[in-house]
Amino acid sequence: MADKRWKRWRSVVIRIMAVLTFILIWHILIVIARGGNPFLTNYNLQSLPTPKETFDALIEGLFPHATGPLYQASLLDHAGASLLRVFEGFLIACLVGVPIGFFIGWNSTANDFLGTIIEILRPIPPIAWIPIGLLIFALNAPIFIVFLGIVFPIILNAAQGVRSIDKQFIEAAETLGAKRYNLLTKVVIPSAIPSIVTGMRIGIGIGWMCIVAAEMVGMRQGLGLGYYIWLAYDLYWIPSMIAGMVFIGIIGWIMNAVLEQFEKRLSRWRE
Amino acid sequence: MTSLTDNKRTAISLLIITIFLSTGCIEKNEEKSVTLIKMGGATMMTSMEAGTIDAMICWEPWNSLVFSEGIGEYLVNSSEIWPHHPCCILAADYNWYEKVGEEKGDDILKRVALAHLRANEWIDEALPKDSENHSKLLTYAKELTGKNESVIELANKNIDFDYDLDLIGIKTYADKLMEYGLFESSKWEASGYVSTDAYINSIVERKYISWAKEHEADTNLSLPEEISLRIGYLSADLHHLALFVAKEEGFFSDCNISVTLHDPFVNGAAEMQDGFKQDTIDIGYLGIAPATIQGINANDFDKNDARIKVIASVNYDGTAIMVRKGIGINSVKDLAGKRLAYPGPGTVQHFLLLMACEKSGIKAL
Repeated sequence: MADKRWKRWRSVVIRIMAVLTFILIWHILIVIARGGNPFLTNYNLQSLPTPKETFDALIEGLFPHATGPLYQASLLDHAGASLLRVFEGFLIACLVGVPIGFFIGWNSTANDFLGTIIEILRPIPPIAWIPIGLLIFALNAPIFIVFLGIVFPIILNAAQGVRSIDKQFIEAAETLGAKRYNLLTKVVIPSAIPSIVTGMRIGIGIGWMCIVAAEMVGMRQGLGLGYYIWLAYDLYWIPSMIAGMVFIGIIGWIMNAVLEQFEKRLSRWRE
Repeated sequence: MTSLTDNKRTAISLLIITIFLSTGCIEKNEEKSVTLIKMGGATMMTSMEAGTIDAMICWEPWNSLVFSEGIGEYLVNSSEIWPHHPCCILAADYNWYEKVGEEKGDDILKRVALAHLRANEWIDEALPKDSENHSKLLTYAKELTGKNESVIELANKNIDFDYDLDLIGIKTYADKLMEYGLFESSKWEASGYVSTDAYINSIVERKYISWAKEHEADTNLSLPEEISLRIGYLSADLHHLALFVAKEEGFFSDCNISVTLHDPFVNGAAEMQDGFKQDTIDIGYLGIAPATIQGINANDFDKNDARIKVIASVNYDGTAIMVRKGIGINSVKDLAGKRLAYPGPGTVQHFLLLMACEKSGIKAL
């Protein structure tokens, strides 16, 4: 027991050390570059902010003191806009992806037919869809890009979830007189849920990466973290630009941690 | 042991939190604000035609083109937002000046200002339709913008081509830029300027245009040896007509200056960053707002790589807010909740829009 607790503490300490080491190396590199090191200045590293300057810009971005029109939206507002787009894309991806995944996993003809199309479309990076997204969905293109990032992991995991059901469960249900509909709702869907949630977790991680890229490359409008980073770049607010990136990382990390916990709970229930 | 009910509860809570966070943040900001979308002039026009944007703020001749194609109509001319506001300026790279030396640098800049002044005088003379040089003026404008004659005729009426520097106007810009929070605070501190007045006084130099005025009629002012200059300007911006006139009418070559035009920049911020800072141009025609902002934000003060000297004005006014035809927007206030395209953060157009929105009590995000 004590050994287990020690291991957990050790893991926490190593994680904190990793973050601190990263920050320290970052700080040292910038200080050396600003000192005029020719190798680092060659890569313009002296233009980048130190961790402390980035932290200050992050706090200013979250709780702006300035009253100018560019500070009417805080980083939280921009994050909210990006999250909403991810949520919308996620919802549509679930509505489309889960039934398709079930169908593919359940029916071998569907697997051969739809599976082939999906396997051709899946390797196309979501970012490559941006121009066509802009053409068809105009300003809603980022939601479309998020949808594409999320839908394939959901389809594949839902299909995998259905395929991996223990045949004995199905046979037992059939022996007990379960009809095809009951078999699907009482046996197949509940058994596939953990796998679907895994697909959702992977998908939402990809979706989060996609939204920032879509907001950057597509029509940059109003609110959104991708837009915020470009706004900062256009105005050459480099500390705010890096602060926006750090905030994206923090949100992604929290989202992943929450979904991982959710997934763990679910798999415990399954056991 | 975790039950299924627990999981459902967790899932529902997560869902509610996400919806609450996302929708709450959006609605709070977008109801009373105009949503800004960054675009180039050509995309603005096609987007307005397709209905993906409701309004746009851009330089001429895009406004005149949108109007003459029947896609949009003028809501407000920039001269109504701020009468006779400074717009584009002629600037020289500070590092280039340091490199060539003060005496030689001054000699060259005096002649650049002279060529610019002569081009402006030429434009003034050629603007009336009955002028013998009018058709040549249209040819140069077409070469610069790629637009047809009727569009250029319309656009020319909205631009005041003027080389004289309005120091008070530029200082007003800088004060407003500071008030709007466009200067990056750590960079402003690093610059060491005690006030916006001190900053503007250090970058605006009127001596070149004053010399040019004094020597306008002199004919033998050629430099002893030919000087090559790399000049930057903005894409399809009719404000920069004087550059093409000076080049084509030989006002640069009269002074023994050979000019190479850099590929046009999409906006002033790009010209400051990719032009002056990256040392790809020596002289540039660009908006006063990006020139002033990036002169601080993009400048590495150890190297002064984005520092410029403003040597002449290029034009006043010449921007407008256009709205899609028949959309029912009759005032700047009506832009709340609508989508407006602009050339990018920190441009003259962005600045004028912020000013217009401030006057009308709406936000621009």
